[in-house]
Amino acid sequence: MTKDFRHVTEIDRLLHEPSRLVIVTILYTVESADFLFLQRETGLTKGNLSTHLAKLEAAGYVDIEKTFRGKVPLTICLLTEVGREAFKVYRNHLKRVVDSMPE
Amino acid sequence: MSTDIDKMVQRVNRYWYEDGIGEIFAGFLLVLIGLTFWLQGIVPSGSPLAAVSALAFPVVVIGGMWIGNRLVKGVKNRLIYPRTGYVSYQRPNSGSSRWLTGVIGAFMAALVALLFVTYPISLLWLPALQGLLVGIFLIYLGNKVNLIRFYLLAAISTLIGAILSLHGVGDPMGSAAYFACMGIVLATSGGGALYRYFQQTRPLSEQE
Repeated sequence: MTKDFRHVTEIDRLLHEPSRLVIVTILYTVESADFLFLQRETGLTKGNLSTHLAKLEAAGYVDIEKTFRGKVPLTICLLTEVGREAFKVYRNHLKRVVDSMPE
Repeated sequence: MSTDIDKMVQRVNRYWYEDGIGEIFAGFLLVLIGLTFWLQGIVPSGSPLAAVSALAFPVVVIGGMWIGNRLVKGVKNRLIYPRTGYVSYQRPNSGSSRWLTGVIGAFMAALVALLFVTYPISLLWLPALQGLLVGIFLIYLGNKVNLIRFYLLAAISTLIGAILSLHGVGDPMGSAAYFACMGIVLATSGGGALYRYFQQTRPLSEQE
């Protein structure tokens, strides 16, 4: 593979999936958000969102804290330092890939 | 699913302002600030009450912001987060926000210097200046989170200040009238936004 296209292979595939990219972008913008907010903003079903969050948590990109607001269970999600760095790297790689594409 | 990242980031930031609760509390705070100016206007200068009225301004501003911040968070925790979710925002500490704070600080310092140099004529134009500054802040906020009503509020703020100055109502009564009017406008706007929010959303128990 030529040097110009090496950036394509360097793209983080975990973040490259649109739903996960949206989740990580939201969490990158805020300090933390709960499951309900993420569900509303992403438009994903509970099951889909749980699956994507579990993958991001397994990669160490997202921390999930389960607490209670009164008697209501509350799932707080936040981006870890590893996740924040991974998002920055992903953004730079994607930018380089787009820049190297012909008009 | 929306894939427009910029719009999504804007929407996430807008979430804090969408319900209008912050505006309602800011409106009440402005009315209180207006009352402190009014107090300064009616109390004879040199009297012990004048010192108390001068002290009232920083107490209302600092205390009001401190209490308001906690009240807004408390009300959101009870009414908003159970409906549409909880978000905790990062403290702005980026280079651009520091740069912006610096520019605003320098601008404010230049304005204060200008007010001292042109005293007492400057007192007459103080309500207009206050209206303009609040208007600039509202435009900045409206642009940041893409909320149209903030542009309208900016126009109203500038208009109220200009009308008061053009009618020769200077400081402190002009400032009192400006802050009281703008406070009522902000609280009304926030109340309307909160009403719309409740119309458009349902509690979590009804969403299942």
